[in-house]
Parts: sequence; C-alpha cells; structure tokens
Amino acid sequence: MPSLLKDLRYGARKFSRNPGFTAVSVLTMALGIGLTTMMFSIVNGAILKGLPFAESGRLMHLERNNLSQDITSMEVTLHDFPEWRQQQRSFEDIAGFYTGTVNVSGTERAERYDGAFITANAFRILRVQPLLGRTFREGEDQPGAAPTILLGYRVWQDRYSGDRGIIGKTVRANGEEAEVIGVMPEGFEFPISQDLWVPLREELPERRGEGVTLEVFGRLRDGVSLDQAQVQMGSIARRLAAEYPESNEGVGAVVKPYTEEYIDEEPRLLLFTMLGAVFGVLLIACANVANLLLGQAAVRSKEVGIRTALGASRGRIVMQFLTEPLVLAALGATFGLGLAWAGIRSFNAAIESTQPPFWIDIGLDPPVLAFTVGITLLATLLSGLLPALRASGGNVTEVLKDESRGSSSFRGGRLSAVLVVVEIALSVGLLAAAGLMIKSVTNLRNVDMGFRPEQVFTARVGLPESEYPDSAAQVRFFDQLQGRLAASPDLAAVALSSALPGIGSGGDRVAIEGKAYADERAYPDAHTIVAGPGSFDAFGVKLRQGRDFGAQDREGSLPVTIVNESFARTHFGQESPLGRRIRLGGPETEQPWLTIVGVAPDMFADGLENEEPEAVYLPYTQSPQRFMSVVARPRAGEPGGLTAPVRDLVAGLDPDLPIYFVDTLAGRLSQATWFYKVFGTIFMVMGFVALFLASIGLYGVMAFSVSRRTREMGVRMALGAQAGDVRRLILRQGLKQLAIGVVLGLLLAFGLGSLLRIILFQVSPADPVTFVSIVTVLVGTGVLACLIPARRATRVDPMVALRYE
Amino acid sequence: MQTTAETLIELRDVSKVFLTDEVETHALAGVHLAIRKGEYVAIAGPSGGGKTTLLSILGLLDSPTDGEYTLAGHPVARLSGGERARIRNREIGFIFQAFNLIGDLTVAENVELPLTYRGIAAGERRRRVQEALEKVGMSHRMNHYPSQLSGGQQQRVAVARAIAGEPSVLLADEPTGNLDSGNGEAVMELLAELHRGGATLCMVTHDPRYAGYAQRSVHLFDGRVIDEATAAKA
Repeated sequence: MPSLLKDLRYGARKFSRNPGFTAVSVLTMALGIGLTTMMFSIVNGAILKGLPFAESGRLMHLERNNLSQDITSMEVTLHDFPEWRQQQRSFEDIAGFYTGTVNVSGTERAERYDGAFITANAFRILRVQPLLGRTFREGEDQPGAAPTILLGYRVWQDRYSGDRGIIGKTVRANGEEAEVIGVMPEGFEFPISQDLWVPLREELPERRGEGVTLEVFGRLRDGVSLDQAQVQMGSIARRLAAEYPESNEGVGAVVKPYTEEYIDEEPRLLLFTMLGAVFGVLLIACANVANLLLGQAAVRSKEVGIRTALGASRGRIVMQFLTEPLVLAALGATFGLGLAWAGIRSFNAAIESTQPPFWIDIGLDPPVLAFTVGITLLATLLSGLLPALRASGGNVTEVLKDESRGSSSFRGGRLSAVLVVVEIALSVGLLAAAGLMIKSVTNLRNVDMGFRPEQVFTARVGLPESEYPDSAAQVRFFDQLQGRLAASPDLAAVALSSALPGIGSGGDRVAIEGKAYADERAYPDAHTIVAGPGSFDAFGVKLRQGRDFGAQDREGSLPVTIVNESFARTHFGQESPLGRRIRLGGPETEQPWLTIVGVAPDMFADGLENEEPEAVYLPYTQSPQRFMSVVARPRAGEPGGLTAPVRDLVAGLDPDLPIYFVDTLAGRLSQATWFYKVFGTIFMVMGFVALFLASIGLYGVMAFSVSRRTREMGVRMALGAQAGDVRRLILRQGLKQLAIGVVLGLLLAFGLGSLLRIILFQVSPADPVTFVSIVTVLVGTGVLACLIPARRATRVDPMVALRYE
Repeated sequence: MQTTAETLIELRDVSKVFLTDEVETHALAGVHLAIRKGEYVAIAGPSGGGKTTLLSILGLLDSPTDGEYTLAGHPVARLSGGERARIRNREIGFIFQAFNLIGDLTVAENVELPLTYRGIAAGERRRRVQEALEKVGMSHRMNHYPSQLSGGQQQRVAVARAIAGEPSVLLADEPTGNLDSGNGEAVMELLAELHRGGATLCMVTHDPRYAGYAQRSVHLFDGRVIDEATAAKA
C-alpha cells in the first residue's frame, strides 16, 4: 500500500507537470467511460433490471401462436384463458388483462387515463401490496359484480390531491359508478404504463374465440423452468385444439419472460449493438491513452532502466506504470459520470412523452456505478498494460548506456501504428453508423406528406361501452360531433378518423371481387381506416378519383369504400377501380361487399416508414367505431388554440367524455418517430466522439514519430532533402495507417449497418453516399492530423537536429 | 586464478554472445575474474572491448551465455528476473557515467528509491538517505531536483543512491565520463574514500589516470582479459 501511494503521488506529480498530456488523456477517458456508462445504464434500465417485484425473473408472459398461418403471437381468448388457468400446473397462478381507456369523471372535469382491465389474482401473482386500501378480491372480476377501481399513485396525487379519504368513495369510470378500493404505490404502473385498474368483468361470448382477447402472465412455481412450463402449456394448447378444432386448430402456446413481450428481440439486439458500439468508443479512447503512454514510456525508458538497475522487478515497474493510467482513468471516470448523468437526463426527457414501460428506470444506480468501476479498471488495463510491458521489457544495459535523451532505445513505433489503425477502423465503423442515422433523421424531416402536419390539430375521443353499447349510439354521437365541429367558427376544416397519417393503422385481409384465392394466406392485406366525410379536405389533400364519403353513406345504404392509390395500382393496374367491389376479412368473412367510390392519395397509412402502403377507407356510419380522432385546421391562429373549443364541443355532447392525445399531427409524428431521433442522436454523438478521438490519436502518434525522427530529418535535409520530400515522408507514413484502418473499418461498417437496419429510415445499411462521405471526412481529418507534424518536420534546422541529443 | 574465503565476486570462463540478424558477436570470451571483499578493481580497455558487458553481467543486468558467476558464495548466473532484481537491490550499487537520476524525483527521493524497492520502513529510509547524502556532502540539497544541480553534484547524489542500501559491491561505469576534470577528481576522491571505509569497488574506465586509483586493473580487449596489473599506489 505505501508503494501504491508513492506511485500515485509520483503519477500525480508527473501529470501536474504535463497538463496538456493530462488534460487530453482525462478528456479522452471521460468521453469513453461516460458514453459507455450512459449506454450501459440504458441497457440496464430497459433490459437487465427487469420488473421491480420480488423474484420478478419468474414472471412469464403467455400467449398463443398459429404457425400454420405464420402467426407467431396472438393474445389469449376469453374461452381459452380459464381452461389454461385450470389445467396448468407450472405456474403458481396465471392472470389476464387487457389495456384500454378509462374515462374518469364525477367530481371534476372528465379525464382519460390508461387503464388495465385485469383479473383479481394479478396483484397476488405480482406480490405487490397497495399503498392504501386493498386490491381486488376474488369474485370482483366476475360479470355482474359491483364496479370497483384501484387508483395509481399519480392519479391519486394529481386528481385527488393525495386524499387518504378517497378509499370507499365512488367515481365515474367509463360511465359507471365505481368504488375506489385502493391506491397502488408510487411507480407501480403494471402492465406497461397504466394509471388505474378495474376488474375484468367480461361476459363469456357464446361463440368460442369471440370477444376481447387477453394478455396473460403467470409466476413460475419453484423448481419449474421456463422450458418445462413451455412443454406443459404446449400440451394444454394441443388438447384444446383437439377438443375445439373450429377455433383452436393449429393454435399453440408460447411462454417467455414477461419483459420480452414489451422489449422484444429487435430492440434488445439494437441496444446490445449500441452497447457494443460504445465499447468501440471506449476502445478508441483506451488506444489513444495507450499511445500517449507509449510515447511517455519511450521518453521514460531511461528511468525504467535506472529503476531496474536499482532493484525494481519487472512486476514492480509494471505496477508503477499501471498506477498512472489508473489515475487518468479514475479522473476520466469522475468527469465521465458527469457526462453520463447529463446524457441519461436527456435520454429520459426524450423518451418521457413515449410512455415507456413503467419498469424502465434509467439512472446512475449502484449496478451502473459498479459497472463504471469495472470499465475504469478495464480502461486502465487496456490503456496501461501494453505501455507498461513495453516499458519494462527493454534492454536495461542498452538504455543506461544510451547517451541520447532516452527515446532512441525504445521501439514502440510499430505498436503505436497498430493502435492507430485499430482506432481508425473503429472510427469508420462508428462514423458509418452515425452517418446512416444522420441520413435517417434527415429523411424523416424531409418526408413530404402532401400537407403541413404542424397545421393539423388532433385529439382522441373514446366512447365507453357501457354508455354507448351499440353501433347506433356510437354513430349518433360521432354524427352530432361532426355536425358541431363543422359549425364551429374556430375550425376551417374538420374530420373524424380512426387513424392518423404517419402514425399507423390496423389492417385486414381483403378479397377483390372476381378473383379467386387458394387459401387464407393468399388473400392480400390492406390497412383499414374508418373516416368521416371531409377528412381528406381536413388534411388539405384532394381525392384522385371519385367522391368523398357523404350523407348518403348510411347504415343500410350501399356499403362503400375509398381506396388509396397504391391499393388501386396493385389490384386494378391501369383500370379505374371505381365501381369495383372488395370485401374485408378472410375466406369465412361475413362482411358485405364494398363498392369503391373514390381513390385517395397515399397518406402514410402504415406510418412514415412505408410510403406506399395499400389502404382502404370506410365511412364510420357503416363501420361504427368507439374511438376516433378529431382532425381539424384552425380558421386563424395556431392549432393549439383549438383545444378548448374542441373539448367544450365534446363535453357539450357528453360531460363525462374527455379528449386526449391532444397535439398537432407534427407533434404526434414526432412522438411516433422518437426512436430514430433518440438513438440516432446517440449514434451521432458516438460517431463524432470517435472521429475526435481518432484524430487526436493519429495526430499524437504522428507528432511523436516526428519528434523521434528529428535527427533523421536533420540528416535527410543535410543531405539535400527538400521540405516537400520530408512532408511526403511523414504524410506517407500517416496515410498508410489511414488506408489500412479505413479498409478494415468499412468491413466493420457493413456489419454494423446491417445490425442497425431496424432504426434506419429509408436508408440502405450499405448506403454508398454515406460511406463515401464518412471516408472523405475521416481521411480529410486524418490528413490534417498528419499535416501539422509533417509541416513541423520541415522546419527542422539540420544543424540543430544533428546536435540533438 | 586464485580464490579465497574473502572472494566476493567470482567469474569462471564467462562468455557473452549477442545474436543480431543471425550474426554472432562475442562480447566476452572465457573471462575469469575474482574480486575480494574490500578490493578496488578497475576494468580498463578500449571502446568495444567488452567493459560495459562485463559490468552488466557483474551487476546482474545481463546473464552470461556461458560460464559461472558466484556472488558472495552464491551462484547467480542462471537466476530468474525477479531473483536477480532482489539481489541487485540488496548486493549491488550502481554509479553511471550519465548519473541517471530521475528528473521528476527530488534528490532525497532518488536516493530513497532502492530502499523503497527493499520494503524498508519509512523512518529507516529517511535515516539512511540522510546518512548517505551527508557522506557525499549533499544533504543540504535533498529537496532539490536533479536539474537544479551541477554535473558533479548529480554524480555525488548518484553515489549516495548507490551506497544508501549498503550493498556488497559498488559498480561504477565511467563515473567521471560526463564531468570536467575538477569534478572528475572530486568524484574519484569520494570513491577512494568509500573504499578506504571498506567498500568493494569495481569501476569501468578508459582513462589510465583514474584506473590508477584502483588497487588492481583488469584490461579487456576483444572480450578477453589480456592483462592484470596491481597499481603501485594500492
């Protein structure tokens, strides 16, 4: 320990005498360790930590599949759930839920919340206790049971000001009087980001397979593995398939860890790819510091010789040389933690509006800090071991006899060159990733929707089933709402639509009249959007052919549809689709044939990623909906000014109905594409840090090489070499490293690009423009990093150089 | 060659071959040498004669290719690196031509360095450093850095560092090579004084004036001992 303290003191003294070296090394380490810590905290918070419940690793998600129909994931029907629950022996118990809107009204303004309709046993399975009151009792989740409700902590605080007397009171939830039985603790938002919970009180539909479907989860019994549970659930599914072939033929069961349902393979792969990429930045940082230390080691070879002559063993010398990078890494880690903290704050702020699953908790918690300590030690070894071994392995006699200033006996040049090649290769890979992301984000910003989304106001309205139980009531409400919105002096154009352009919509199988389909899989798919009259006007686009929906399209009149251009082109080619008929659903559909009355432009029905999705529009009067979005443009002023009039118009029709998801369409699109922006930004930061560090590395190595070759330069110039010759000599050395690094880096970039496919927006993972651009940027920066030392070499005075000791 | 119970260093038929680019260079060939405890030996000869190689082997900085080396009765020719470092630290004190002080350490810290590697307690280290610096007349400069000293002063500090650990033998490699004649004489006087105090010294020099300070001179040429002479002065 006294030796360590002595080494630390000696290291600190050396660093204070060499502030430039110290500052660059600490900054380099801070960037590497900071970025790696930030990325690890994201992976830890999103994937590794899991659910914040006791033994949460035993909580599994259960679902169905039908591989014969290429369906890998289906929720569980109301009929299958009780049979699964009764027959299974692998789990302590299983519970079911579906999520949906819960409109709460009563004492105050109606407000919409994300709720879960859940079986009573769920909280027992999760092993979670309420903060106040109780959770659901068995029987409260049966049809006909008295309505009850459990409040989330945030609702309790925000809406009821943390009133402890709320237990036992009644509130209106989706139009029903429900007794508040409890308040859940802060942070509990199971299953994803729910604000409150009501018991699942669904009547069992007469026909098997009908009705809502459930997400199911359970807690594995002690001693039962996931595989064993999978086998048992599979045999239950096969039994049900044999018993109920009409509804269950080909249906299997899938068991997987609960969190995998919400963060599946692709995001996991992406996050681990990013963690790998950020380790690349750390490696670059370590290579940089290693190079700087190699330079120091070269200068200090005589010191090592002296220490060896005085009896220091090689191990002791190595330990001393490792103490110095430890000091640098520890200082770097301190600043790096600050960078990570700022990065995590920005990341959390960026994802806040996306309502991430409640268990995602990203911060500098103890496991992350332990990780930081680990990578600090790793960085110490990565950056310090080679220089330490190199420094301690020299020929002592030669070094001590060496009259020069200690550098000529040291042969670290080739090692430095290899490190720089590695840095450049990693930088090319990371810059390519950054370049692809920059292009993705630019493409996103430049998407031409055919209208200005920032001028379009949107808000969602959801009708509770209890109050609007049938189609007629739903159509009546939206008819009235459409009429009042159209009459409002604040609105220039208004429409109702089940889905918004660029956000995505549901889909269905489609049959074209006159065409034959071999089986269900042969039916084409199309996105389905239910809309009111005037919706295309509200977005400011014109129909390409035919007419919009109108007052004549009612229940009982000719069923009609409008198709988009892609649908028309795919299924009717050059022919006009007007008057042709299509039908939604597969071979057993009972849906009516729909006559095409119009052709609309493509409006990103599948989200922004797909410009040409096939889509069909249906009038809400013939396809009633409980949930619709209000789409409007203001007559004057900003779209945000429409919030109050639209809320008042809805409340005027039903005071229990809130509006929610209030935003401009541009705002909604921004939320829908956060993924690209946030991860794109992280990659951009990584890429630029990599470029910065690689440039420093290249510059450092070239500058050091030039300083070591001062005498050689003097000799060359004394023998008649011109400045250009010397410059070329230095540049050639640097360019050789650049070229090898770039070639290796491009191979890495191709691999990284294909792993990033899922977050690329309209960019090929091997986009040639991006690759050429980043190679140009890196080579340009590299040449600059070589040019400065090369110019310095040409200023060598041969007389001085030849006297140089 | 005769050896006695007082023999501190004994080399028997030591040779050293360097292999560079498949070319063998015989730096030492069949060297026999014995140094008694308390003896002052000069190794002389022209450049390239093998003086420094011999000193490196004597100082356990290098191993012989062939032959035996016994130090204080123990064979040391085939020891591991760690074991050599341990013996070097305890038994040998080096004085170099270029002083070889560490620029980032103070005078006291430089002298303390070999004691640190021996794991001696801090109080004892301080005492020995003080004593060694007093012996060479440099205790008043113990908090200076080497760059603040003249060449002669630096070499005095280097001598203090060599004797601080109370080694069995002091090995000096051209100790006056980087000094002017005045400072050179002073350092030679200092070494002679140490010898008079009982120290065993082995000094490499090519300067016949300084070789005369030693009791015995060993002449090396082409890696072989070609002559041994006892100085009149001794």
